Amino acid sequence: MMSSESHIRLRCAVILLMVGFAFSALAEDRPEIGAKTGQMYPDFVLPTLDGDIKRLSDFRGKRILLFHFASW
Amino acid sequence: MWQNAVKPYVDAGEMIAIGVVQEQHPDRTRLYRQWRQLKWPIFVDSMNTLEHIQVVPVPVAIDPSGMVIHDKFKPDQLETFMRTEWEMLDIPEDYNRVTRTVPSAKPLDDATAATWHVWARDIFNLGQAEEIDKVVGALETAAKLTPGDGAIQFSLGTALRRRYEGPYRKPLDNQRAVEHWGLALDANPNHYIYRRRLQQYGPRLDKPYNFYFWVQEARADIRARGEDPFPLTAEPMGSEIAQPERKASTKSVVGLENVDPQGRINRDKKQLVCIEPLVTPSRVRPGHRLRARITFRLNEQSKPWWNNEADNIAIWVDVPDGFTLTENSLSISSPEAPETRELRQAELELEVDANHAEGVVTIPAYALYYVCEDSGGVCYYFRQDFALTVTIDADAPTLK
Repeated sequence: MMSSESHIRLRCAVILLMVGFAFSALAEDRPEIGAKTGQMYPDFVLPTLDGDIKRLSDFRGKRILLFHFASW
Repeated sequence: MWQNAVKPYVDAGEMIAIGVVQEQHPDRTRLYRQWRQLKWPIFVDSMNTLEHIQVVPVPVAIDPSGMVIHDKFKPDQLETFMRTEWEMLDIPEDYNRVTRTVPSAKPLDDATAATWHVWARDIFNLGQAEEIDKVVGALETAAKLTPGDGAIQFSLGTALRRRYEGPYRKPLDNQRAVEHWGLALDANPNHYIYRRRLQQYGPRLDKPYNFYFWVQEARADIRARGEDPFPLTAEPMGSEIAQPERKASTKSVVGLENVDPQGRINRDKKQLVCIEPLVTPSRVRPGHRLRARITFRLNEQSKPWWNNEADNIAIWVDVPDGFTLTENSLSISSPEAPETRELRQAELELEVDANHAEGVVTIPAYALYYVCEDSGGVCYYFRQDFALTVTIDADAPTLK
């Protein structure tokens, strides 16, 4: 039979294990940042043609066609 | 093509189409957007801050969470992309989100080249136009620390060109921009955007097509709709609208005459006209061509004007042995009004002999022009000497 001190130690170990799992799960949920398929497109801040300063992330929440181009 | 393909989805609010333009002159893109009646938000990335973009066009499909679904999006993938229900990822709000929208603090004196580069780009992109000297200064520091960094050299070229086209211009800004773009291409010869920036001002042989052929057509179409076309800061001229040459040929040269061989015409000591020669590329291989653009800018303080009732500007270039003048467009037609104050430009191309020795070559030249003072209206016929300087280098990057 376990002593009450052993119970407490076991509970602490289980809690620590759960916290560890939770953190590692959170880290795994964060996608890699990059411009390739399967990565999260790197956020950026740039001026717009209309003179505003905007971030790509300001447009999150919808499907996006991001078209890099030049008029030449 | 993409504009029409995505329009129903954009109009229905099911998708956002966003442009990012990799171009020195954003106002030209504004005109293009007006012409094409594009409603998209368009980011301006003249300095190629998004370094992973080295070619254009690059269409990318991104889901509502910000995940790249297609890094080379093709029109036949559009329907599936729009039909798929994309789940929002459960990620922290601040993950992969740029927090600053104003320039970062000035780096310490012993900062790295990368830190100076970030700061310079911040001011260029997020700061005020009158801070352009700070941008150039920071990039000069960065370029001294790591001269082989193509991105820094490209940024410096872009900043110099931007300064050249504004009120803070310094006499050599334009030529220096070309030199730094050349160093950028040297560092990364596969970078299409670096190459294009040089081709924009370079010889016709090196051009894939005339870059800004669409501008006149766009203006006509916009006017036909009853709108006023957006004005341009720098009108596309000369090499920017010249038809490319598919093979080398020597054209008959007209309009060049050494009318003052003994130098008897008075020099423009009042500096009523500033002559800005630009040689592209600034380093050229034997057997290749260079293009010179000569810009005539009236003095902004004393405000003289062109006397259009007299002759056009005349230019003489003393082409040295080892060079062939292959093309010139020196006839600067005077507008019909008797007095005007516009910027004038002339262009010519020179071919370097295939066996030309390496080294710096200075080609003497002069221009003759009729110009009048604003106060008192005294008109003069002046001569001004200038030079075209080019380095012959067998290892220079080619523009093709």
